[in-house]
Amino acid sequence: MIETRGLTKRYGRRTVLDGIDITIPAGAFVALFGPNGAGKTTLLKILATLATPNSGTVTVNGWDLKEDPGEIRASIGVVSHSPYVYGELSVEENLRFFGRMFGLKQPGLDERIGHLLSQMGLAHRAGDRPDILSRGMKQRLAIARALLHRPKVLLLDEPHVGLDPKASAVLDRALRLFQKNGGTVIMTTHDLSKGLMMADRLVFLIRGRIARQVDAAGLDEAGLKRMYDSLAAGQNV
Amino acid sequence: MSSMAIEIVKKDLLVEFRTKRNINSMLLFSIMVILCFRFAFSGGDAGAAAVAPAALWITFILAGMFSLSAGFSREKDQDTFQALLLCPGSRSSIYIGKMLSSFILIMMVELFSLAAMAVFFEYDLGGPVQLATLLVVMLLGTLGFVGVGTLLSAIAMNTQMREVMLPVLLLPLVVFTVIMPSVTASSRIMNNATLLDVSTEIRLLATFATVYIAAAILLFDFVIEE
Repeated sequence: MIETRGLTKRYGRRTVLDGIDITIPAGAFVALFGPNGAGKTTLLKILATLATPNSGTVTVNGWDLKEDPGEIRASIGVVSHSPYVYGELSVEENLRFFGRMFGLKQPGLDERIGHLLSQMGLAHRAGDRPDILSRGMKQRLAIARALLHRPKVLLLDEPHVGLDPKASAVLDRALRLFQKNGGTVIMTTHDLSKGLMMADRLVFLIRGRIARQVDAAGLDEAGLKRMYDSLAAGQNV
Repeated sequence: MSSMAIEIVKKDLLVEFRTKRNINSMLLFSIMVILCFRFAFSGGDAGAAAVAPAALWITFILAGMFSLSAGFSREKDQDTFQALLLCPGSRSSIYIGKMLSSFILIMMVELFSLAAMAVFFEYDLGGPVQLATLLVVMLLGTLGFVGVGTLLSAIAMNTQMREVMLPVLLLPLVVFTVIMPSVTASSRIMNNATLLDVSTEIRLLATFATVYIAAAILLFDFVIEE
């Protein structure tokens, strides 16, 4: 479970997040919508312990952000626009390095890497460097890196950007499987239909505030678009 | 030392020896600096011998800058620094890992430079005791240099002119605490001083290396905080 109370983040005099209160139960798939600059990435960064809030409390999987950041990091996986992998190391070497950084030991580590590479359709590229992989393959590698240590929560910052439909479908399958196994997913996206298709809860973040939270069930794409447009325009729906 | 720091050292050295991006530049640069000094002071053997210790340490410091500035900027350029920050261990492990990998690379270049200096300056490095004493000074001087340099490299990583920022921040700090005692000790060792004769400089170098590393471990979390 993820819970924030009164979460505020300022960069200089600019308030990026303004008193965010959000509760995400374990096993939920949340799509976080909002225009550029709404604070989506900053919220994910705080949940991932990459940024420190100015005020407010955050608990992830029962761990407090200020007291137990290491425990939070051990229980989350993060996927961003960038794959966060080393171009000089092979696909397998990258996963082995990050596995060891998360305290995974042999022989279980190599088994885990083999399983994830097969799951992501990258087993035949294990010896290749990420530099020569396609954008879709790099993103699948990023997912494998994020899942390596069996996290309970996945934080995804616009993971579908630049992916072709096939690569996007592979990513969707991996995320569904993760949720099916009890994982919690928070995904920022500008793609309303993708968010509606994947998530069971939709959160709208506008100008650093939670403008609205709704269940995805029963909502169609046209209704979602109308809701988003009016919220982004500053109206309450 | 944490396993995270060891993994970072292993990864950095693997990447470096695979690409040779940094070490080749450092070795070439070292040779160039030593040759410049050799020819600039070629008027007489006494002049060249007198500048040898200073030339040696200027070579170490300038070549070391390559390693320090590359340490974090390569991570930043590939966005992998974020991935390191997402690992569960203490963040000071990242500092220790980066510091040690720079230390190993710089020490390798220093040993090469020392041999090159002996050749080009036609300098007799003396017996094993003299060489061992010089190595102690090199180890402690380099430890202090990379101790503070790695922290400042992390600070410079997020600035716009990071290549300029690192020397601007680092050199004033190490001139009196690392360079001066190292040059003084090296000069005396090259003139047959014993370990006891340079104990003051060695204690000074050991103290500053300890202070710099301890301060960097404490400050690293704040330096990288967003």
